[in-house]
Amino acid sequence: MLDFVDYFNLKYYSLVVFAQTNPNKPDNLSQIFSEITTFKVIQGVIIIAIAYGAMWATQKLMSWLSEKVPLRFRLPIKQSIPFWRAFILGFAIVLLIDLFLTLSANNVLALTGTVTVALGFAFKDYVSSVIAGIIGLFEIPYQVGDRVKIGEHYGEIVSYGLRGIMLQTPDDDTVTIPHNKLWTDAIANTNKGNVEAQTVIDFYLAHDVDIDRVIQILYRVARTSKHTQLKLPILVVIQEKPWGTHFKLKCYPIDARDEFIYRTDLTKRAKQIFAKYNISYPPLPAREFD
Amino acid sequence: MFKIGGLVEELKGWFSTEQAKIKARAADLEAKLTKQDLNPLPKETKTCLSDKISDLIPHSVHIAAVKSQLEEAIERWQSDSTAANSLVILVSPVEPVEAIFKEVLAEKDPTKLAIESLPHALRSPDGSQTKERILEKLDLSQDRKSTLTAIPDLSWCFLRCAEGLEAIEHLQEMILGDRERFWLIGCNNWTWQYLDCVCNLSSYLEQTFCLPTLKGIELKDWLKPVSETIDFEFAYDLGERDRKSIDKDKSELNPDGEENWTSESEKRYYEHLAYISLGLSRVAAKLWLESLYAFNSEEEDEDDDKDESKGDRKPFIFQRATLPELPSLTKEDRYLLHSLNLHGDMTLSELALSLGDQERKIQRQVRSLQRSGIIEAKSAAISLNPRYYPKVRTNLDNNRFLVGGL
Repeated sequence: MLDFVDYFNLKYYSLVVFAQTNPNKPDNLSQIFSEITTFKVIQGVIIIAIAYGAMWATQKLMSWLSEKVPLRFRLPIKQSIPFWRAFILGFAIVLLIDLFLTLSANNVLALTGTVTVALGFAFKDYVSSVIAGIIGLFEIPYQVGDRVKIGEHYGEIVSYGLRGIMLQTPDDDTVTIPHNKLWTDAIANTNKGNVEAQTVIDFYLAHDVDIDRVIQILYRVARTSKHTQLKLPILVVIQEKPWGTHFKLKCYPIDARDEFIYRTDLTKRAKQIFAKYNISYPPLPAREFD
Repeated sequence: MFKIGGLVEELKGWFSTEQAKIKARAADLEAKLTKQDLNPLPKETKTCLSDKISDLIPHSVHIAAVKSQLEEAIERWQSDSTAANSLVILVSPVEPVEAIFKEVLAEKDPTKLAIESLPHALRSPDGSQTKERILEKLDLSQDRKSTLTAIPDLSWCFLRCAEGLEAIEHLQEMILGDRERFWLIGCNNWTWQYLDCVCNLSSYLEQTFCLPTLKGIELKDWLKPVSETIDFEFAYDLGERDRKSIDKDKSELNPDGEENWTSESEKRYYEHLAYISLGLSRVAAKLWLESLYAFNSEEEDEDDDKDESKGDRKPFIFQRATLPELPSLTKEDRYLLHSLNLHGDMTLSELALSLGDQERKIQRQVRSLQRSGIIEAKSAAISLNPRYYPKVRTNLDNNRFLVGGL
């Protein structure tokens, strides 16, 4: 409650200061606000309600539609959601300003300064997130449908809001992350607007395994999986470790959402073939058992 | 609490009710306009016609095209030691390539070139013994004369599993290493795309020929032995858009216009059939049969006194052929249908191995798709119903699957 009072005191104070120092000041501060009537308040409430309802409906409709259309159209539809929301919100704000404020060049200047000062103090982080969100719409570090890793969290972006994004993790948790992480954190995006995302599966085998045979098996396993997107490259890379040989199989599922099923399928089938050909795993060091 | 799921269900219910109403009105209107009361074909008649279609030999256009390509390729191979010793005939997964090969090989003179053809049952249960099975069927003796080896369908030689591609790799080596043997290989476009991606098949089998699609008049000629056995008439109207598409195709494909049509409606019917079936004989045959209706004989008896003109009416009528709507498909259904197109027909265990799933799980899925009519099961072999092929292909393509040409 105190914050709320402080905010309005600040707002009033900044308006007065701005009006006194600005050479283009309006003659009368009350000219900025038009006359408030009951009808206008009702109109304002209706505009807010309709805007909220429209944003909610757009989110639901687009999400539903994106799951019904063929895979190739899924992400473009999902990615349009933030733009629809921004459009509806912007339109509602313009209507509200038109309803309650008298917009002249001087008034706009005065109001902008006031709002900037007020928000700068009261909602610094919120505004930072909102601005990062708007910049994110154009720089596109991530979009709805992308699979990203921000900090410790990895998952699919299911919502792009005004303040932040919502990630759905592989464990079906929903994590909300503010957009202002863009300024400070590294963001790893695995599919960048595509339905496919590279999946890397690690295999740890003994030093003495037949390398060529293992590579052939891994390629074969990837190429014969029903999930594999064969239009994209498949690669096996090797790294020597003191305790064994580390094989990395890099390939793409047809649908990035199947990433974990895909991993399971490849691991299961590779292990079956390794067992058939007696391909050995690295012995665990004794301290592991301790 | 207001739930979006409830709203969607209500909308779905409303949509399906309205759709049913519109369809019913359209059917009423059509019946009124054409003044005909039609029944689906009696089951016996349908089975009889279906059997006759199955017995049809492939269209002579296909046989002649393969034959001429084969003769040219063999001639080049015999005269030039660097020429390719293989010819791949690329077909759609629903075309009867085995039957075409049978006809082509029957006309070859075995005294000039020994002929051997690999049989259907080559795939082993776990996909690992296919190579051995192929080698068993081939004559590998040193003193044999030049041989024409036919593999009617290359999809018989592999199974999409970790060990299922060994036979294809061995075949590649054999084709490169044995110049005394000419290979005639039939391969469906989907298999070809897949094997080219995973085994670089086109680098080994460089000579390919795509089987031509059939035009309206060719479909009419091909189905003539069956259509002659029934007394029918044509009654349907084409949409403006389809008519334009057909006219465009016709001007491109038949500049001479030397076609033997008996009526305008017959011409329109078959050209539309060729258009929607993508010129594929098996798809067209299924759609042809589905577009055939019988007049309601009871109604006719009652109305005999009222309208004598109906006495001239033939017992069957062809309505405008249409592609059936695909039921709602899940992601797993799409994987299954893709696998069927990749392998042609296959058993349940082969299908399970190809999908990397358990047989029990696949069985439930197969039953569900079989009930909806998308797939057919003859004895132990499961295959795609050719009627659905055009829409299944579009659906899989839109869902980013690797699909072959027509």
